[in-house]
Amino acid sequence: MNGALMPRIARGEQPAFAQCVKEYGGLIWGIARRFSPTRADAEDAAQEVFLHLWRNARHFDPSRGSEAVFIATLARRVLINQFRGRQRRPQEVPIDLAPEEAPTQLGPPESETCAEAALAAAALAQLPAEQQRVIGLAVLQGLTHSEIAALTGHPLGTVKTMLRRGLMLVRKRLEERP
Amino acid sequence: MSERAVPSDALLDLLLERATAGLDPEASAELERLMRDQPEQVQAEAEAIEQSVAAVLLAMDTRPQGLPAAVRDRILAGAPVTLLPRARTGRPRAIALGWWSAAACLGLALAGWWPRLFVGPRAVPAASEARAALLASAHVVRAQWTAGAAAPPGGLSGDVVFDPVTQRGYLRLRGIAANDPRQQQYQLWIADAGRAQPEPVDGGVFNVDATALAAAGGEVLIPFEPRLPVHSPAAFVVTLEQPGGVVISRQEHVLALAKVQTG
Repeated sequence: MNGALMPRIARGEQPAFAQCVKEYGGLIWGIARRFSPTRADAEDAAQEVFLHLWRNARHFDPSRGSEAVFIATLARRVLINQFRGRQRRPQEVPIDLAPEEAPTQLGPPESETCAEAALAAAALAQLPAEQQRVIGLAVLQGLTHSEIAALTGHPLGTVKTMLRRGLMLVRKRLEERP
Repeated sequence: MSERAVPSDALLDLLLERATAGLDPEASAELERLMRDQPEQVQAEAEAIEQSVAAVLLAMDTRPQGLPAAVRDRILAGAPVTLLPRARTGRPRAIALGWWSAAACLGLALAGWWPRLFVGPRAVPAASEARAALLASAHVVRAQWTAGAAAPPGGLSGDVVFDPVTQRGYLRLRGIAANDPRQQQYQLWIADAGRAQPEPVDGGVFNVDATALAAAGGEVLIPFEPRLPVHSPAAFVVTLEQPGGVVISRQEHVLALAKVQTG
């Protein structure tokens, strides 16, 4: 991921958009699946994220972070807004009778190709396992602080402190980048 | 680096929750209130937190799912019409609006269809064929249901099959009772030995319609896809929960359990 796709997309280069779908499709699909009650919703959401990406590519500033972080941030923002716009829980089972379909080829783990991910991984490794778990419940599963407290049995204040200190440590490492 | 004022813990907590899960209206109002004094500083703080959350996501999500080919094709097929507005002419805008109209129609169609998703006689043959195809996969896991404490007196039987590659599976249940979705719904949970977090993955909620159940001879076949990737399923559990399902099951009404045999 060379970080040169966003300026090209901002210029309207469709091959760059296709390359973006290839490189970041898995990342966006994973986020879409987490925040969508059904597969059909996830498909719509993934398409909407790419549309937002096209419209907002001009806002990408390489001095502030990598393309992967820019895309993940935008995707989460779109999905969380959608998620909050409807009930938090799915209403029905995501029954899908479409033919079986193999996923496209998986890319390498993002932490191998994104400096911020590597820094975040190093920061997370310094934290106790339970704090990592709480952060995972928030970031990967999108649980609210109250839901995490109910799930883990930790007091709400403890959950907030774990998240705040953990994420602030990550932020500090990101800001210390050369 | 220039010195920045230290935001309060309350403000940071709200910004963090907004970046990870979103805020309810009450919390949003509170955040707006806290932002009034220093909107620009808080906005910068919010962006930094969003970037940190994204970096953590990229660090933790080391096994991203691949974008399904059909979804990729749909996105790319939509791109030429939706993305042309860069030319700043009238025509692409019209095309884009047309696309949005089509998308809106699709959304309406789905909205009209989705709430009626019950296990019905028409669905069973198609699901049955798809299940048979899934069973041919080399990666598929299969486990037999055993009745849980909340199972009907006659017991529950059947099996569950799941392919960790395609992330699709099918529940086959015999003996399950019809439910009233206004009162309760069935919910599937999947224990994944491959996850760092011990909590089971939410497999979704489903209903069993009495008429369809009778037409299908008392056996239902239900396709499912977990909302998070499941790589090493260890067990499947069906519970009865409140309408819409729950984030955390108290497992008070366990209908069926299927443990995956290893080795």
